[in-house]
Amino acid sequence: MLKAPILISIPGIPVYWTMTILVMGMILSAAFIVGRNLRVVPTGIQSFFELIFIMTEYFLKEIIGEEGGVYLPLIASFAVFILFSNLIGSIPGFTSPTATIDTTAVLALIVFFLSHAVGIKKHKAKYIKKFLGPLIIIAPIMIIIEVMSALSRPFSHALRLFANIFAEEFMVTVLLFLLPWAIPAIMMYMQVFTDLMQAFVFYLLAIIYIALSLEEEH
Amino acid sequence: MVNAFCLFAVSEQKMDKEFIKQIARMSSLGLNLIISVLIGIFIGIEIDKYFGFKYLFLIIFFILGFTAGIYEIYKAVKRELNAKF
Repeated sequence: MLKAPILISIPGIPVYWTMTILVMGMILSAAFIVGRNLRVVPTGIQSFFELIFIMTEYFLKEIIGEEGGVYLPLIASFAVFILFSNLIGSIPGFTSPTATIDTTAVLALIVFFLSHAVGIKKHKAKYIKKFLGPLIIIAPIMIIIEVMSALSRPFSHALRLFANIFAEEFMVTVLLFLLPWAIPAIMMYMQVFTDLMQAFVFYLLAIIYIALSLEEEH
Repeated sequence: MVNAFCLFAVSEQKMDKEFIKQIARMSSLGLNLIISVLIGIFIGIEIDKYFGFKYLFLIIFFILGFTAGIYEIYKAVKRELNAKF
């Protein structure tokens, strides 16, 4: 399989581990620098972080409701982490940690367990009603169907992010080997757009999945 | 692109809000359908192995998985219509 050369690769450690730690270091240092000198009128990187904060707060209030504010730290850090790890793949010599299914699967599993845990915490025993369907006669079949559709969610959640990021990185690499001049740059421009879009979709779906288990059964 | 997100986030127009939520919701449905079927096939094969059938449970769970995928779409469409009217 074709592979673009990687700048930092420590033998014995998977590449996406080093990349994840790099991304984490980047985010933490950026957050530290921004946190040290906060301004009333935000400039540069502070306005970027504030944008993500305001956007997350808005969507949480809009989709979950007033109780959604509790999830702001988690969802906002999802947004920042996924965005940074998607975008680091655009720099030559680096690769996205989200281009590996392991990273995205962990993120999706966090959302999966969290959404069911908060659902059980809110509805207690009534939470099982969500899996029984509308009629009590067809409940034995409905419970299998509902469990399967609940299980398919983390899979599709993880797979979409992984597949999109992997595909675009692979495409750039293939183009780079075929036509080393100018053409990959067009693809890399597209890559930035896909990175933003996929980070946004993953983040919005995380909110929607939490909202689905919190909402009342009619 | 970031500016576009900012516009979506700050804008009070109904169209933008609904539109961006619908994109995220609806884009998950296609993949969900496939993955429900795949999970059904996987469960069916495992149960067949356990009980020694050739492909009885594979067929049953294939159909159930397909139903699960369709049911997910049904629920999403119902929710979307309820939100609107």
